[in-house]
Amino acid sequence: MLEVDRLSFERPGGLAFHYDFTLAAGEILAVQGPSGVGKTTLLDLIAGFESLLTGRLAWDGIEFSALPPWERPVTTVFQSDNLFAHLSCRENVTIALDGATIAATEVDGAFARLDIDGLQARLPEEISGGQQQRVALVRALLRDRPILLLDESFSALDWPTRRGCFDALQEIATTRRMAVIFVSHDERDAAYLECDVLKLDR
Amino acid sequence: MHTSLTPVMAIVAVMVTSLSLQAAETPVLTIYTYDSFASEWGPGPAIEKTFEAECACDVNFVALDSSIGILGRVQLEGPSSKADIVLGLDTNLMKTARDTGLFAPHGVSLDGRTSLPVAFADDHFVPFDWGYFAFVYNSEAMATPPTSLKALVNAPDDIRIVIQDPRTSTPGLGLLLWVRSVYGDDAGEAWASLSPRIVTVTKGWWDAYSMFLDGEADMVLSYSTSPAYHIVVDGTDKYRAAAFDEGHYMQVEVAAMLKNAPQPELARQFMDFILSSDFQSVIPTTNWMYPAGKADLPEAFDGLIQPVEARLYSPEDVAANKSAWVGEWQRALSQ
Amino acid sequence: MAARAQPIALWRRPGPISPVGLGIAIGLLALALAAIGALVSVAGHGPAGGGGNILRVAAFTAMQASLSTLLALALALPVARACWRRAATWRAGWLLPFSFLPVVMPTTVAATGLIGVWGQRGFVSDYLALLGLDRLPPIYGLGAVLLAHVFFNAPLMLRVLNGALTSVPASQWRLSAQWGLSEWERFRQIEWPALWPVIPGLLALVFLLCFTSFSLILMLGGGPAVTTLEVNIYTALRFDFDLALAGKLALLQLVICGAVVVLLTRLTGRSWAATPRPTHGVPHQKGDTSTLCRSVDALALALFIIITMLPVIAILVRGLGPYLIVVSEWPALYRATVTSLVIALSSGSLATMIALVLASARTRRSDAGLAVWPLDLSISLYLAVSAIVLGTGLFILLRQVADVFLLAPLLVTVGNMLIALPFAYRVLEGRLAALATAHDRLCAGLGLRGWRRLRRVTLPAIAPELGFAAGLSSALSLGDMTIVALFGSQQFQTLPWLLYQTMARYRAGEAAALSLWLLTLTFLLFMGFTLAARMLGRRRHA
Repeated sequence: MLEVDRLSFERPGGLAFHYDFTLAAGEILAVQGPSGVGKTTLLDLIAGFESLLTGRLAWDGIEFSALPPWERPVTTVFQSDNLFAHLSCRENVTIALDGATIAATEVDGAFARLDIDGLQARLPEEISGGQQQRVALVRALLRDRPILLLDESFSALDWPTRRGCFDALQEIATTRRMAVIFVSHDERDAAYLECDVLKLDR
Repeated sequence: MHTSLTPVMAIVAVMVTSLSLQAAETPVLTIYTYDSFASEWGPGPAIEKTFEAECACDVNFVALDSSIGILGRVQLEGPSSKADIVLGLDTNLMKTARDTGLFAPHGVSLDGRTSLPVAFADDHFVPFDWGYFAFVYNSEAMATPPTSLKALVNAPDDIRIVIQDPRTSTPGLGLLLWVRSVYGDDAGEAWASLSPRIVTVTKGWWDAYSMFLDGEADMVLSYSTSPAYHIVVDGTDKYRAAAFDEGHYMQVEVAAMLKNAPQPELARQFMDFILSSDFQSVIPTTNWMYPAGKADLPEAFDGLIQPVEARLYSPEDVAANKSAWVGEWQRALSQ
Repeated sequence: MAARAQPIALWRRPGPISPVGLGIAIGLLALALAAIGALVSVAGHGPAGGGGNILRVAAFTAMQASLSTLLALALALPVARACWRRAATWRAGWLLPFSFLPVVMPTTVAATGLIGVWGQRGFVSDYLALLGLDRLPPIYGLGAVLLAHVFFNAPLMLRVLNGALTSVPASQWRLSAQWGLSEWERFRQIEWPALWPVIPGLLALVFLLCFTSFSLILMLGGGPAVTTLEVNIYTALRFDFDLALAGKLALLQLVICGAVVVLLTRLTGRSWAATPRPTHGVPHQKGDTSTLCRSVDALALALFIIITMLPVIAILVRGLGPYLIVVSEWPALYRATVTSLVIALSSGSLATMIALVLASARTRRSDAGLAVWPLDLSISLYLAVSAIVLGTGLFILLRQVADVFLLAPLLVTVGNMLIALPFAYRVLEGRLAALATAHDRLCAGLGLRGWRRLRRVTLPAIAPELGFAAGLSSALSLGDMTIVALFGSQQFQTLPWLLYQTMARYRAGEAAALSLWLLTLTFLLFMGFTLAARMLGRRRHA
């Protein structure tokens, strides 16, 4: 269970943000709201790219607010630029796996699961934006951290492809017991997933 | 088996040890000189071979980038320098060199052994070659060169000359002193008159000479012996030196031994060797200068100009006035 | 890619690399200052000359350097735009790989090339004579010096400016094509914002190079009226053995250059970009194909080629001939080549490695403001430290400790490394900074840190820049004539030293052949590094 306990954050210039919710393992949470309201900031705070002002972040009772990003039980898939331009797709995936030996078949299986089998040897610049996002998702899947954050990761995909990704996401969340937070401005996404929605406002 | 090999091995061992001991014992004479002297086409290799046969030693020439560089290097190294001898300073540097206190009297008798146009007597420095500075021109391009320094200074503007910087080159300094000795206190004006004819002032002798050979200038300040090189090596006599009525300034190159030389005996022997015919006979066709000692001159030297007067300031005069005169030169040419 | 404000987050606190980097930079500067100090300490007797003349010389040096820099920029900027614009149609891109050659050429070789083009018996004069016109008058003087400085520095500027232009996102060009922006509007809104960040750093670099110019001034200046501080340092040190004056002048040079560097880099925090990237999918702009536009581009390119490439061709032409065979039979040639290559490879690799450490340190602390300028400053200042003073000072420092003859190769390597360091640093730092924004966030999130990040992410990504930096540093070392003039000897001969010796005799033909040999070797060395880096980085495109 992810606990976001009375988190507050302030930007230089006076904008203040407050968050307070919990999310169980295996559950998906959609974060919605107008632009500028702090959706990405929330993800950055959980991932550790911003430091919070007050509050507490914990997973399964263990607090991780003071830890640097690489020690947190989090994987983030950004809106873009998830891949290293000079590595192939396969290398982009395996480089994040911390030396843990994952069988090549498992990697290929994950690629197939997300409908991008055959792109393993390509460079990021040789595939489309949507395909790049899915490679990032494969990586997140195989990295197997309890918390998965997605920042508008599928906004560029067409609806049928997006549905397929959401199916995969659902399966990942349930079978791997991940807590998934995704930011999206499209209300169809949350409706399709039939998940909880966190609506942020001023 | 063992008994027959052992004496052989013992002999071999003794031979090897004695050879290596001998190699370790061959003394090394270290001579600092300027780069062209030590190069393959310079006098260095022949002199090295001859002296090594005489002395049972190993001669090591250390080539530095210029004669001024030689003095600078020994000054930097100080009393702990490994040099035995410096070879390649000239009279203009003698006072400064003597004042460093690094050099020792050479103990060589110069009487009757030198053939210089001026009197030379010094207990620290031995002359090894000399030459006249002169303007060299291409006789196929210039039929009537100026016949005196004054004529050059007042010549029409279409004569282009290239000279060297007196601060960085010995011929450059030579020309400065030449003008000074002819014009005295009017030297500044003379330089100002000469200035429009000067194409450029180069850092070293070769920069100017190659420019002349490329046709960038009509005359270059060089040595009166430069034409001999072209006669012997290139087979042409079109390059000539212009003889000036006022006489020509000289350069006398000298050598000295260091006070703290690691091999003082060998050094003294070499200093004496300098004026011997073995050394002197090499000079004309490798260094392209006149030998300071008595030696035969090659045929190519026969046609060279013979100046009416050899001008040379004493080392003390040069040391005392150099910076004032260089300053005067700078001001005259900066207008 | 959206640019987001990045306040100093917890996790970005600099790690152990940073103090090391800073320490190295400061240490090297301290070494340079120690060398100057050694000089002053040995002095004692002898005239402590100078006086009001020094200020006049300093002012002239600064004037000459500023003019040279601005002229080089004035040439390089239109050519950079022309090159970039016509890369596809006129294949103007081939100019770029050759652009580094003038920078690394030994100055004596370059000067002979320049005279071979612009001298009274040079290409241009011969051409004019063919047309029945007067030959060129002698060029020596301030004009020749400026021309030479432009020859040396415009190609470097071209490469950097071109790199900046190629970093403009293609989308901006698409918008501009769609809206039909005029040439001036395009320059103002799109090109200039991309060029501006790199210009101050570039100006600082070129200013420093022109300020410390020495051989060129002596060869082309025409007389004592055209002089620089460095020339005076040289004469004080080598001719008058006035160490105190040399030390004073060296300090003055350091102060002036330091002030200029600080001034220029306050204008922008970033240094210049690295290797240019190819542009795909950039559409035609309005007015690109107009006659006026094409003529201007053609003129700029032609001028550039005349000024920077003809001298190289002159060296080629002179060097080819029977003397090449003569020279190739010298055993000294091969010995000197091996020595030169060993020194060049050592100093090049060393310079690149240290530059990498320093550049990484700089990038990590990019937010820290005040703490980085000692790093930037000290590195830029190596260019301002007179090579002669450095060499002599090191000699004095070390002669107590060891036999300098044995040390000679080491001293030459270290000296060359210090001279190449600013270049290597600038090349790497530009690229690392550009990558940091992309990589930092990603690597932090994925747990890629320290050695792993360096080996698997950073090094492969900057492989082309590493190749360029190493190639440039090695090539600079290969052509060095200043430091080796202090320490060379018959036992320790590098190629420039051999060339120097050849020139001291009447051997014009051999000298020209040697110059050609040296130039070719420099080119091959540089290409070697570039190709090796390309293969190691496994990039599929240039």
